[in-house]
Amino acid sequence: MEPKIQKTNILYALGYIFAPIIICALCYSLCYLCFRDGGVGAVLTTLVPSILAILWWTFGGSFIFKQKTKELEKRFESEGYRRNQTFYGRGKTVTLDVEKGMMGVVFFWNPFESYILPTSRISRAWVDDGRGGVGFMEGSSRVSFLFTIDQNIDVRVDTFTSNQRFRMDDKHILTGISKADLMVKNIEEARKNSNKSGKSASSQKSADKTTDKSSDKSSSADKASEKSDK
Amino acid sequence: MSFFRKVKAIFHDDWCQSCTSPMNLTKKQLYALPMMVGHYESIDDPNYYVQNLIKVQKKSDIPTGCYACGTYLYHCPKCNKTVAKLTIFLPVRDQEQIEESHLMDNTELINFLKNA
Repeated sequence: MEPKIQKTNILYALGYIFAPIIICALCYSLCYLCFRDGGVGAVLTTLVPSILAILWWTFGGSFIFKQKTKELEKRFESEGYRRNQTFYGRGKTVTLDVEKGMMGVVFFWNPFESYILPTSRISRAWVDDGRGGVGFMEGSSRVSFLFTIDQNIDVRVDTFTSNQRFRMDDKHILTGISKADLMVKNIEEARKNSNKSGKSASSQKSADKTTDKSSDKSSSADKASEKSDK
Repeated sequence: MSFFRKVKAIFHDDWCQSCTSPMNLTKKQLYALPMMVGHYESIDDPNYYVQNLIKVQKKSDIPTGCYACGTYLYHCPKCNKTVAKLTIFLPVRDQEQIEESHLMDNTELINFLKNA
C-alpha cells in the first residue's frame, strides 16, 4: 500500500500559527496575576514570549522546512536514486530521478513527512503562466508548474511570484516559464520511464507466472517477484 | 564629426569600433551553452566559449531550459579586422530572453567560429 500524499498537516499548521499565541496569552495572564508591579518577572512573561513568537513565525517554519528538505535529499540518495533535477519552490521541494522515474516531495505545511514516490502515480503535469488581463494590461504575477498525484491531489509549485503584474515578455516571467517548462518536461520523461519500468516489471511477473504454471515450481515465482521488486 | 560617429558606434555592434565604419556580416551560427535556467553567470573569457559552445542547427534543437548563444562574425573592410559578437539568450517557447552580448576579437575564438 503506497502512502497517501498529505500536503498539509492540520495539527502542525494550527500549532505553528496558534501555539505561540496561546503561550503568549498564558504568559500575559501570568504577568497580570503575579507581576502587576513590573520587574524582571514581568519582562520574562511579556517581552520574552512575544519576541520568541515573532522569531518562531519568521524563522521557525522555514528552518524546519530546510532541514527536512536536506533530510529528503539524503534519503533520496541513500535509497539509490540520483537527483537529476531538484526544484526548491516556495513551500515545496521537488526532486526527480528521471532515469528511474522517482520523485521526492516535501511540503512546508507537512514537513515531518517527506514522500518518495514513483512518477507513474502522476497523472498529468502542466505549466500555469498565470496570464491575466487584456491589451496593454496583459501580464502575470505568478508562474508555476502543477502535477496531479493519484488522480486527485494537485500540487502547485511556484517558479515565480510577485505582488506586481509583469508583462508576459518580461525577464522574470520568461525565466519562470522556462523553469516550469523544464520541470514539466522532466516529470513527463520520468513518468514515461516509470511506466516503462512498471510495465516491464508486470510483464516479467506475468511471464514468470505462466512458466510457473507449466513447470509447477512455486519457489521460482517467489524469486522472480523478488527480482521484479528490486 | 568623428567624435559623434564614435559615440554612435558605441550603440552599433556591427560598426567597427576603431574606424567606425559599418562591418560586413560574414558568418552566423547558433550554439547551445551548457548552462541551465536559474544558473546563468556572465563569462567574459573567450576560451570558455571555445571549449563549451555546442553547435546546433535550429532553436528547437536546444534542450528546454538551456541557454543559447547566437554568434556573428563581422569583418571590417576598411581596417581588415574581424570581430565576433556573441549574444547569449534563453529560448522560452517562441520568445528569446536576451541576457547579454559580448564583442570579442580573440583570434582563437574567431578561428573556432570560422571553422565551425
